[in-house]
Amino acid sequence: MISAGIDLGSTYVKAVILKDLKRVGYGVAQTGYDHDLTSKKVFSTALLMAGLEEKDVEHIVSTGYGRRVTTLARENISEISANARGVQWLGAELGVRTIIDIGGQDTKVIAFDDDMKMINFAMNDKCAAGTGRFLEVLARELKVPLDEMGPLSLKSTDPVDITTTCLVFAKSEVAALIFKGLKKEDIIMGIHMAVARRLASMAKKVGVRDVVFFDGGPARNIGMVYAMEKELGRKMYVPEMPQIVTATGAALIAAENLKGK
Amino acid sequence: MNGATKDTDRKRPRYISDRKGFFSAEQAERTRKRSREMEKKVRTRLSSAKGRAKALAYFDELMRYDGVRAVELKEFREKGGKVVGTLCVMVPLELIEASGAKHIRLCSGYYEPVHPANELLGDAGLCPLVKSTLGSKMVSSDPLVDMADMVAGPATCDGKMKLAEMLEDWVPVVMMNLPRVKLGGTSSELWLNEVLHLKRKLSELTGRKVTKKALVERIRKWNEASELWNKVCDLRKGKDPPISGQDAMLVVQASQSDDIDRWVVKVRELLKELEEKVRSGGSVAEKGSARILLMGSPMIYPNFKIPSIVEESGGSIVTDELCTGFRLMADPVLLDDLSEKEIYSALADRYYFPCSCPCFSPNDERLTRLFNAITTFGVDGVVFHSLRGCHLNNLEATKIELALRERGIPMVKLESEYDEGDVEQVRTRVEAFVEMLKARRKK
Ligand code: SF4
Ligand code: SF4
Repeated sequence: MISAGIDLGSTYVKAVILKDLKRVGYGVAQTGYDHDLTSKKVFSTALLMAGLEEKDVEHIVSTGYGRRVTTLARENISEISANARGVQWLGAELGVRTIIDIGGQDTKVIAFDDDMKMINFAMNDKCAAGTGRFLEVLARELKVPLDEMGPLSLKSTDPVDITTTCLVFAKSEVAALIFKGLKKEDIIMGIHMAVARRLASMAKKVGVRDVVFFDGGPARNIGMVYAMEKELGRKMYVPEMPQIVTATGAALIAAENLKGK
Repeated sequence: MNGATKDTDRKRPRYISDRKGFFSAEQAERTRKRSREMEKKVRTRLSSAKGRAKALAYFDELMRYDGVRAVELKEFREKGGKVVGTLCVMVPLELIEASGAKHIRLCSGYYEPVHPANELLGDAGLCPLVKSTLGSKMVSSDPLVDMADMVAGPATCDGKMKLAEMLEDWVPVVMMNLPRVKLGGTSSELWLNEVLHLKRKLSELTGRKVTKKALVERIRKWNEASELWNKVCDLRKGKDPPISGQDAMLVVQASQSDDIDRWVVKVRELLKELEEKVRSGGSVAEKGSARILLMGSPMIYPNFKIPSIVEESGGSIVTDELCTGFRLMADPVLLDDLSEKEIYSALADRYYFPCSCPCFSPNDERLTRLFNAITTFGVDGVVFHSLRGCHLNNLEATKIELALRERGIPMVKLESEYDEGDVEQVRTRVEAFVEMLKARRKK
């Protein structure tokens, strides 16, 4: 049985192909102007990796912010359900109770009950605070490639305190810090801590219990993981490819719905 | 005595000095046009719903922008009749009717009048309902609101209290000092006095004495209405609700501005049709939809944004805990002694003790009613909505979420404004919530 999930996020489009409930292909690309076109490109990358053709895929479910835009899928599901489904599968042995999924323009916190069923969630999509966008814009301001933010921040010995969570103000705050000649690593660590504070307060509203699962693109940033662990005082479990958890969940749902039919 | 007494004659406005010049004709016309369009859109959506009871058409006509009610009231006033506009839900409508006046609810659900109010007040952190109500009056955009000869406003939340004060720049206002600390004896005594004060103001307005006979007769009529309303709601307890949450709200909100005698006749017709629907297994909800209880800030027609999203996303609103829904007519006046004193205190109590508005503290009544409804209506999850700037509901959400969590009942909290800009954000959350409820049901 072959199914696929396509996650049309605000900054990246991700696709995952499952064959007999194993991940055999995936693709990731920046969300362009034409979401439908991007989704098709990403999907063909995933097909290529899997060594399959479009007609081999029996069912596709789309998810994410642009889930209704793609013409590939005949069914769609909210990114919250898709992410939860992905973690139920990937984190089954861990016994996950809380998920923090940090996206490009929105962040979700999901609470599981003891049967790993979703019981509560929160979503932040009104402003950039606590999202990947916050990191991205400030990285550009600092002229540090996004991928180097994490390793660099871990060198910090005296992190600065970024006092605002509003991206617009944070930009000028960071500009002032650069001007003052403060060390980049200290500023970056400060940025990570600011995002972590925001995520932690959101998570507390939903209720945090161990085991905490941390996913979404920015979860690849080890500095971000470090800051989250410090702020929450708990260990964070980051999966191998945190950016494709939601797409994986959508592919699983596609497989299940195929079986149900 | 009550300071508002002599102040109702005052001529000098407090908030706006140039009532005519502040807004151009263009602005006023735009507000009217957009209000009309908004209402039409909502009405068209409601009336085209599949399997909708035919008897609901009456309520569409009654509640529509520029509808029959405004025309009727205009004629009534031309013959010397008086109309009282009410705010919130604690003003005893029986009393208004017994004085010979008619009532309309002023709280506005139109989006466009928010803008004129913003121009006057700046953002001020007020909820859009208050701003819209004020704005409607400022630019005269709602024909019904313009019918009010007097306003009765209980001092509930800060916004409503100052709204009543601001409205005094246009129309006489009777402020009612609602005791927000709900303790029993002392509070109900104070409230009774406020109701008696309103009675005097009503008599002054209409030039008629409120007789015991007329009041008892009106109370009996409203009790009949309440009984009918409860019967309609009972039909939503079953597996196949014959009426949507939005339509139920439309019906109950109509009671606030309609002639209640006629409302009773129309709801009786509706009830018959709905009972027939239940017998033949008709349902307005999709199969397997999640049973939702809606609560939080008021949702005044045509601001049915939140309930429409819920009902479009596979949720079925089977009941609510709203001052614009079930709560409006849930409770009858308990008349067991027909002495004048007892009648008035029974009337005052009906509008005070059962009311679970978040302006009260303690307000454990709200939790009691909530849990009761969750059980009797077989609710899967609670949608808690707060209008931006509605501090009281925002605050109570925390308490209610905790209480629900302890009982394992999921709740989602939504925030909204009076515009269409947040529809997609709200929809994403609601869809995820409904999916979650359905997934939890599958064991
Ligand atoms: S919740 Fe209370 S204060 Fe708010 S509008 Fe309703 S009755 Fe008025
Ligand atoms: S209770 Fe909330 S919604 Fe109602 S008038 Fe007050 S602030 Fe507005």
